[in-house]
Parts: sequence; structure tokens; C-alpha cells
Amino acid sequence: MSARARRLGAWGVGVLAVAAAGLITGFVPTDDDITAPFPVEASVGGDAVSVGELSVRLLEVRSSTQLTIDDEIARSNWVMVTLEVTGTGLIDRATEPKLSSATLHLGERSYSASARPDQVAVGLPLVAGLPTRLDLVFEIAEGDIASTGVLELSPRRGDDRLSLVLEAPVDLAASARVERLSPRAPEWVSP
Amino acid sequence: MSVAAGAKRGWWRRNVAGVCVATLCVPSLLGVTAWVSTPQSDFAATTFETVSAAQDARVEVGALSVGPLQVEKVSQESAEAFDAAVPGTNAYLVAAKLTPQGGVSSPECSAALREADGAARVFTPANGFVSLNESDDYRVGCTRGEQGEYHAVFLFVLPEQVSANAVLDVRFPTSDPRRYDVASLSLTLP
Repeated sequence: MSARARRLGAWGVGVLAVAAAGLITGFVPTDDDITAPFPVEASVGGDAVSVGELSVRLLEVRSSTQLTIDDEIARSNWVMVTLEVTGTGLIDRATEPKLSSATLHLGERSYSASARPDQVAVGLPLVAGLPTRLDLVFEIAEGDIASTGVLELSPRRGDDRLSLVLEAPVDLAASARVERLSPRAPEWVSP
Repeated sequence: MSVAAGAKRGWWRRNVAGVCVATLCVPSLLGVTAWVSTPQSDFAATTFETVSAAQDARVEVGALSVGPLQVEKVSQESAEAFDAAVPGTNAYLVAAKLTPQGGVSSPECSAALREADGAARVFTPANGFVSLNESDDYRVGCTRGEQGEYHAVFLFVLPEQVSANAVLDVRFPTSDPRRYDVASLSLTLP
């Protein structure tokens, strides 16, 4: 084999190695991929689903341009998700169950549930064994009032890597549109 | 050995020592780096040292003696004073006497009640969620009374269909944040 052929062969092997490396890199999961949360599918009006130490049942989704809080009316674009949450299985856990984050993804926007003191539903410690009814309120942009998206609920705040996350499709165009929404304080419901 | 002879030996034979060192060192370095950069405490399991006993017995847990246990169904009059009365539930006060064996000044604890049979559901106290008429008489949690005695008192709101046979797990933290002492006391709901 001539020196020229050997040189060309070496270059060829090098190019093939770089191409193979690029291909492998494309298939190798990223850090985000390998620590992504595990989605648990749920539906509004469907059965309760277990998400970690929580059992969650999505009751209804309603939207309005008016929200009543302490006899005052707030005008904007509001979405209210009503759900029942029950803490389960705490024997081997050092922390109390709670719904730690609630996010509504509509199109390219993500909305966190209202954190007003009188609407504290996210982060509320739950009594295991007793269902608690929560109203989650989201204030959304006008462009999203008839859009579809995903409601994401997580028992873990901030860091939901490798944890279970409830995901439920939400169609605001098909959900009930009411004149006014009145979120209730979290309350126990009959088991 | 002449240069010509060395060249004839081939690349692998000439670099066998380097290849061996690299083969050993690279995986070792990767392993050490992964070990050092991974917070091992995140993966350490929390352990629970559990001691079980009957309702009228006492158990030694750490520096405490726990028991006997008293269970009282909260009266309807008191139940009506709940901040959030729930149809289909009953309220129970569960109290255990705590006797420090050493220099325990203020024992901390948490508790859970679990059904001994049936669905084996787990319930946590509703201490911070409800108030009773006689709220001044009920100091919930692990507390020290006026006479210097210690008690663990918990208020549970349970479904009417709960199993009468249950187990109260009172959990005490230890100096090791990954270890808890647990007094597991059987009881019968009235």
C-alpha cells in the first residue's frame, strides 16, 4: 500500500470516528433526560391517581374574567382548577404530604398557581387519610383563554427530578366559562 | 537494543506499560470523581428503630418510656366546635404517657395512626387543623404538663368506616438525622 493510500485511509478512519462520535452523542441522553420526572397521566373528571404520597382527583376546570376574593372583584383572565388531594402512606417518611407545585402550561407559557395568602392551596400541609378540596387559581394571558395545555402537579417543590409528576390535558375552549369564580379556602371533604 | 530493533517490536509492545496504566487509571479516576461529586447522604436510607407493644403496656424508646396509651372519642359537643367539621368522620384523642429515663427536657415527636387490618390506611394527626371547645385542656404533640409530666397527645379525624384495630406510631428523632426511634403501640378505637 502506498504512503498516499495509508494517509487517505487514516483520514477516512478519523472522519468516520468523528461522525460516529457525533451519532453517539445524539443518542446519549442529556443530564435533563436522565433525571426527567416520571409523568402520571390524569384527566379532569376522571378517577383519582396516585402521585408519590398523594392521591389526586381532578374535579373540574372553569374560567372567567372575574374572580371574587373577600367581596372584591378582580378582573383578568382566570382559570380555576378544583381538585381533591389525599395524603397517603406516611409511615416511612419524615415529611408531611403536600401538593408542592402546580403549573399550567398553555402553549409556550407556563403559569404558576396563585400564591395569595387567602388562596394558599399549594404547599398546604395535608392530613394523611382525609381528602382536602383545593381550588387552584391561575391568572393567564388573554391570548391563552381558549387554548389547550397541560396541568402539572408535583408533590415536590422546585426539584422534581426523578419524581412523579401528575400531568393532565386541559382544554380551556371546552371547559366551563362562568360569569364569576369564587375560590374557596382549602377544606376537608367527607372521605 | 537498537532503534531499528525497537521500531520492529510494534506500537502495542512498545507501549504496553502505558496502555496498562491508562486502562487502570482512567476508569479509576472516573469512579473516584463520580463518588466524590455524588452526595452520598441523599441516598442513605432513613432507618426506624421500632419497638412494639400493646395499648396498656410501656415501651422503652431511646431515653423515653412510652405508654400506657389512652384513647378517647371526642364528644359531639366538642366535635361541633371543629373549625372544619367533616360529615362521615369521628375525632379521637390519643394520649400516651412519656417518662424520660435520662435528661430529656423537651421530647420532640410526630405520630401516625394506621389501620391494623383492612386497607391498612395511614392517618396523620389533625392537631394544627382543628380546635376544640376544651382547647385549653388539650396540649397536642409531645408536651410537658404543669406538674412536670410528659405526654404525647394527638387528635385524629378518622372516617367512620375505619378499622377499630389500629396502631399508633410515635416517632422520635435522634441525634442521627437519618435515624428515628419509633414506639409502635396497638390500640382499639372506642
